[in-house]
Amino acid sequence: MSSSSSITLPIGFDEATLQQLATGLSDQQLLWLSGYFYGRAAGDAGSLPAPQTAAVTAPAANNTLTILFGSQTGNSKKAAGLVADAARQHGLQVAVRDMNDYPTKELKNERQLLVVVSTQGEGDPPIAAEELHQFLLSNRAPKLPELRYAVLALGDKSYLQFCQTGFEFDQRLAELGAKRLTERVDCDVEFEAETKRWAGQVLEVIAQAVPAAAPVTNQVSAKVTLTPQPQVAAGAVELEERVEYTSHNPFAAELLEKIQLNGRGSTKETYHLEFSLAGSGIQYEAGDALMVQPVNQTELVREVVQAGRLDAGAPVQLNGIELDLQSALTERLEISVLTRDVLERYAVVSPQHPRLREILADKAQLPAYLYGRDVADLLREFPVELSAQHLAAVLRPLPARAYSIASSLLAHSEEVHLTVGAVRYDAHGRRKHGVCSAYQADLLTVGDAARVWVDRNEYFKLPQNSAADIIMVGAGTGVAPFRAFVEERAETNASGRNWLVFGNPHFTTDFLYQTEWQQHLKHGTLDRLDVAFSRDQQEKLYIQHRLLQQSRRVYDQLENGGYFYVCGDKNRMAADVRQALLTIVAQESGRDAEYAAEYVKQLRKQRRYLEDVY
Amino acid sequence: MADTIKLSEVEHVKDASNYLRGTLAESVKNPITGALFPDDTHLIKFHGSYQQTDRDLDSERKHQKLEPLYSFMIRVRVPGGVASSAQWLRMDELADAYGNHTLKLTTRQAFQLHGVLKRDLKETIQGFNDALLDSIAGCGDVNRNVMFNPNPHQSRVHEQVYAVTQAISAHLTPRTAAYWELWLNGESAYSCVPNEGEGDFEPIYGKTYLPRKFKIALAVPPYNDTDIFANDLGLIAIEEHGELLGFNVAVGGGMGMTFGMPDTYPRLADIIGYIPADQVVDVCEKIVTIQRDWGNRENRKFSRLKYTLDRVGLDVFKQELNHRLGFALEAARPYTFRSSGDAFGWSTGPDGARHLTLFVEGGRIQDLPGNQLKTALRNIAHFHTGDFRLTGNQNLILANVAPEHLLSIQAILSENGVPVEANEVHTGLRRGALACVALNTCSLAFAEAERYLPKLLDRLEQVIRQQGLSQDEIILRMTGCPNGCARPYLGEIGLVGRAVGRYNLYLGAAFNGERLNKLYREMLDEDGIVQELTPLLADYAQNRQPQESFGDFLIRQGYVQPTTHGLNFHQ
Repeated sequence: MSSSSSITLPIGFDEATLQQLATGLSDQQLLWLSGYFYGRAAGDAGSLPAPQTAAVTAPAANNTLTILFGSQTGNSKKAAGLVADAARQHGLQVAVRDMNDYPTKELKNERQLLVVVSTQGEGDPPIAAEELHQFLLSNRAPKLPELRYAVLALGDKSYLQFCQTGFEFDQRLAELGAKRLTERVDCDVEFEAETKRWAGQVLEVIAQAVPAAAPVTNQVSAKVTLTPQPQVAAGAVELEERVEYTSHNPFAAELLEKIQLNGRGSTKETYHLEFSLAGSGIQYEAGDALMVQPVNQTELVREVVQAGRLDAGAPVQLNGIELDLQSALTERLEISVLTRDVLERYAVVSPQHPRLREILADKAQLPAYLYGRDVADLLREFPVELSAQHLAAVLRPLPARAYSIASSLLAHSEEVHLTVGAVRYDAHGRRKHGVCSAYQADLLTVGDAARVWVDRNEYFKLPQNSAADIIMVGAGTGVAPFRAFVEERAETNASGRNWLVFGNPHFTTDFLYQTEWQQHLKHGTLDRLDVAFSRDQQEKLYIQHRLLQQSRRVYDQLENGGYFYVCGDKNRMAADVRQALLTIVAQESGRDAEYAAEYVKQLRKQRRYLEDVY
Repeated sequence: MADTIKLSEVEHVKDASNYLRGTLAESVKNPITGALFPDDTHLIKFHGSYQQTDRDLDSERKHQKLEPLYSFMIRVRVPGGVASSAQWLRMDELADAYGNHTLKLTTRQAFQLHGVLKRDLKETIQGFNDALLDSIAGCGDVNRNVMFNPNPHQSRVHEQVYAVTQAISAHLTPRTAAYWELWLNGESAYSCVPNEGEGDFEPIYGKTYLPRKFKIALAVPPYNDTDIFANDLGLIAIEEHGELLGFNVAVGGGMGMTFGMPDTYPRLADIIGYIPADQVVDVCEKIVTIQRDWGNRENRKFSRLKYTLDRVGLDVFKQELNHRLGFALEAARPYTFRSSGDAFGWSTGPDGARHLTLFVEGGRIQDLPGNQLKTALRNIAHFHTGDFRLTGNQNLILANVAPEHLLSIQAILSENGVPVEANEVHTGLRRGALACVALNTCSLAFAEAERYLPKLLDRLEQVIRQQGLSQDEIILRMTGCPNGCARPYLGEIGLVGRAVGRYNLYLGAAFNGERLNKLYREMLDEDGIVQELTPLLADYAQNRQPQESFGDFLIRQGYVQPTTHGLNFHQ
């Protein structure tokens, strides 16, 4: 133990895993392995895409067919079933998919697609189709030049917008470059006969194409993708040109989507944000954080300018750049909170206020004074004659904030998602806002660009061993990295069990990502989900209580080499969870508190107990 | 035949449910969703509840990655609509504690709570039980709440018929212990637990219950305020000198139909004979068992007794009934129905007792600015020694008011802005209007009903007043879908939702509930409804004959053909 701990292991590795890998291998075999892995690493960009592309081309064979239905009353589902039956009789391999469960990113992999969709009320898609419909009609929809498709629209002729949704799917797929197998058919209430007739037409077109084209193109494309040369070259070029995005050079990421995750009536205000990384080449791993550079709210800037009796247009020099005070306060300087260093510098320029020096001198008083106060409060409470330049010199640069990334690149290529809780409170007579959460909640709208870069979190990572079980414990926005974890483990078909323990105030309004977790449970990509909604019953109930209720299960998984992750509030939640874990270990091992403490300490050393707390 | 039929999905669920248990216990406990497992959504109906979502929020919540806001409607049976003050207070409390702070009085004289979350189901149902109420058989493929309006002011025979109502209700209540096990921890404060300790056995229903819901209503002529012809089984009381003799028996009524399926249709019950009062419970049981054995279990759209009857013919049905009874029904006796509405305001019964019939718009007990009906009734229930009677027209009777309480009841209603004499405030059109719940909670609704009807009536009342028809009773009924909860096909004006903001207009039903209406116009929006009805009302005001109802007038003038049987409803 003592000798090996002096070796510096690369990120994500631990002694135990290495031991496991090397067990029973001869020196020769170890040497061979070192070469193998070296070669694999060098191949990197070249070798990885090949199997992926092969996987993608597989469904391109013309004997496969995806039938995608969007149904409200079940008629479209029924129609899709009729078409599927007919297609199977033609010897096609058919996948019938519900739009409700269909990941939009799979669209670009489709080669032959039949869309069966109904229209609701005055021309709206069924709820099950809304997401796909919206995605398809947005500018995020991919070009689909290799797709051949046909649309069967269901509707009711007595409505003005008869079969509108089917029409829109049909038009839009064509716009995206897809080719129609046959003309769209719009069915009235009695849809079955029309459906069968349409299915016959489509299947005839497909049958004509199969014998001639399919095998040949397949072989050709397979050959091309198996040749690694051009891919490696492309990867290398990309590597050379890749720009490193940092605080000095943030990437302007376009906001693609912003969703308030809390239902009506919630006391919480949590946003799901999706940013585009397109063109940046930015890579991140599940567990990393995204840095977001905020700007201050106009109202607060005005408050500060008024409180200091200053001119917003006054020139200011910052790091050799000249700009007006308005811009400096908006984009460059921190004004939403007070920090000790700012207070110290302010005390220097305001000798007429001895009280300031008293506060600074009293370590007990200082945090209480700083809490909830911003620069406007300070300027009002201790007024001094100050120029714009002086104020700028007193203040500190506006820092970026880190957010645990809530997405996996494998599930959302060239995107990064965040889960952001808006921080708002009343203090010292005014409404106060967390600068970066309010920036994202109030200022950023879809289409705007935010300045971002990735901050690697070296330790908060998934186990290298994909068969290891993981327990993820998160309250509120602490669930963010676990969304990324589960997506990542789903995409990589990791065999280890994923167990999430989530808490928030109310079930009906605060169950963040509820429908995604339900899907993961259904598909087995989430093995277990325990929830604690603290305010849904008389006595408050938190995630640590759920862990204690599942004491045996927790201990068994840890004994079995499982990993334990905690994310969220540092002061209360993380401490409570740590205490619960100590209790669990003591109880289930039948040993004393000292043993439990050592057990948990070892978990930490092995990096199997990991925290991302703030 | 029995070997080859393909049973509907619900039949399989019932069969496998072990007398309505299914996996409800696990469903209710599952903390990941506010919904039940799909199969259990069928079974919960037998326990009196429908799983619903707040449809106003479905789309918004889907975008928010939240499941629909699931909640439960729970229907509490009140045979004949008679509830005590204590029961009223309990329902009022439960609406606030677990529901959406309102009570719905249904068109079948039941209470409905809306918006109850899954995790509160058990406490809510226990709350009913403590007040000697239950929700079993509130919905589901069983006999539902038995209707009878014991209008206490009308005749002494009403109390006798009320006793029959209670006897029928008790006799046809499911015997399974599932309800008590699931919701009441196996204990019941309710004195009439059927077959306690005998294990599960359904002597009348069998383990798959009925093919579909079954509805029974009773009435004492000349008042047909329970719309007995809209029921699978209607019983018309025949009296002599204030004593109940027996009932005319009518079978095969039902409102529901499906748009685009002309072989589904509303149908009124046919009178098949007369039965002495002491044999009426037996007749009910036998009719239920024929429907149990003969009803369609393949396609639920054709499962109601009305389709069974039209399939086998009335004569074959009567023969079978006589056979099962062991005797033949007598010939029906003469009777006359005059109306199907409620009479509002104070009235005095033959024994001198005082009763007050209150108009409840849409059957919704709630507090609105300027009309704190819920608060007023709660305050009254604290001292009222009589009872609360729910009418089949979604209204409420404060019955048997003690003489010393008359003034305080009057005062409490006035203080809270509740009109005591509805006739003085509302037009006859509004007083007689019915609406089902529809959006935002009913999953079947295509269009608004209860939430929207008051607004539509505001416009129609302008026409009514212009034409001098303010006090004329005209029956208007609106539903959000064609299934018929507010009995829209018995409206002189029937409005049935097709899509948000669009209704089919049906005209020409009889004022006394003895003739269905007929389709007049399709897919009308609000302007269309007003434009279509305006000239008809004007014509009625000018050219009607004395005592002629609006429905009869429209037929006489040829605006629509009379519907003489369900089978020609669509013609």
